[in-house]
Amino acid sequence: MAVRVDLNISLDGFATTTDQTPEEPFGRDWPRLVDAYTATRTFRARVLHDTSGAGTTGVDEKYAAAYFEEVGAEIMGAGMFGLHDHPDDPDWRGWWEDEPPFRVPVFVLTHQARPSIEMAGGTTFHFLSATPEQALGRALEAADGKDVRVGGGASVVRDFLRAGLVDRLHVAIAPILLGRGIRLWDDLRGLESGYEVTSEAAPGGTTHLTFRR
Amino acid sequence: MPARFVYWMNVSLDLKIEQAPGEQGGGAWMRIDEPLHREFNARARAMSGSVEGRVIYETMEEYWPAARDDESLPGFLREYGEIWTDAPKVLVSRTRTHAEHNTRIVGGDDAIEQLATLRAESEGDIGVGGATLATQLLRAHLLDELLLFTHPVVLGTGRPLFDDHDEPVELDLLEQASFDQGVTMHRYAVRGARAAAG
Repeated sequence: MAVRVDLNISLDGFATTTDQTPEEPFGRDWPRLVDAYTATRTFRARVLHDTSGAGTTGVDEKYAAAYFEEVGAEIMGAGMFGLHDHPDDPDWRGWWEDEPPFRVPVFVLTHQARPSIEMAGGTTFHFLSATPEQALGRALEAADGKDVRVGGGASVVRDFLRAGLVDRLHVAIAPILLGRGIRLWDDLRGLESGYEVTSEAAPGGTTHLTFRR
Repeated sequence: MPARFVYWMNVSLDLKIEQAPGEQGGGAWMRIDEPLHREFNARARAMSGSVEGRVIYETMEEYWPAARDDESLPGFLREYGEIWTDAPKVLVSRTRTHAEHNTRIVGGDDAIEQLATLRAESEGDIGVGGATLATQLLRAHLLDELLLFTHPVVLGTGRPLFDDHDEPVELDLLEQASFDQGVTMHRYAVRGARAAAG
């Protein structure tokens, strides 16, 4: 059982984009950052419920498929669940719609106490006010011998990396420089020590970098 | 075909070029062994010339012409000394008035426009040395390619590939390769570079 992270970042290391507007809630940079992933067959089937078999099948797909394999529990920040947009709505069920792609217990880090929510397809959201170590303890228990994924966002991933809790970090580096946002690597000098680092380029231009210990 | 300005740099995984100020390409975090240096030599030899900022030029000027004939150095370093010294170079500087080793000096307020003319009227790949100059060329839409040799370390802090650049730059991967000790090479085309006639 391993603690795993998969993240999309820019060549200069930014895991978030900053050009969102009310008219373009994701902005224009976000699709550039995640295009190679969202075009994969796995993403289309698992996240968008597109059962037609459409989507890319190359190197990017290999990593996308691995993303969901052997995961027994997931940890995410409140932002990734969608809590920041609806902080005062006790009935808000997140932005992952009725059948989220996780299909495992998901621990959402928030200081707000909320009852757990059971979704279709095997996903249950639990809400925790906890340190990374405490959250990981709960998730490992729930994963029952399988892996735990720390899904994001970038700040949560950085907390887990700084705490030395991540066994496998996979970043898909998109061929774009953003120059601003939340940078994954800040304050992580020397992160590579203790890890084996490998790199694989996809023909579309994404570089898949993996830190493994 | 106009020439292409190729910004060639050794970088860390987090796209830093220096851990400490003044490393000037000599940082101990780089994993440059003989096969990698021979790759550098071959690529440098294939370029039609280079444009270099003053700081990097003076670092090179101090070392490579002398390295050419230094019998205590291994052959691949002497060879690079010869390549650098003989190559046609443009030194971008407001203060220098004289340079040897096949070097022309470009200075003044219109230095970047002079480089635009050089690019339009030359051929092949012209190496760009120095982050300050590369940032100016990027802002002027005169940078055509990035040639990055990435060393498998996270520096966390330090000087980035470009100075204070916060506009998105879209890239297309042209070529990539892997070397010993986890070093990788990626060559990207910069989208939106100015057409040569401009």
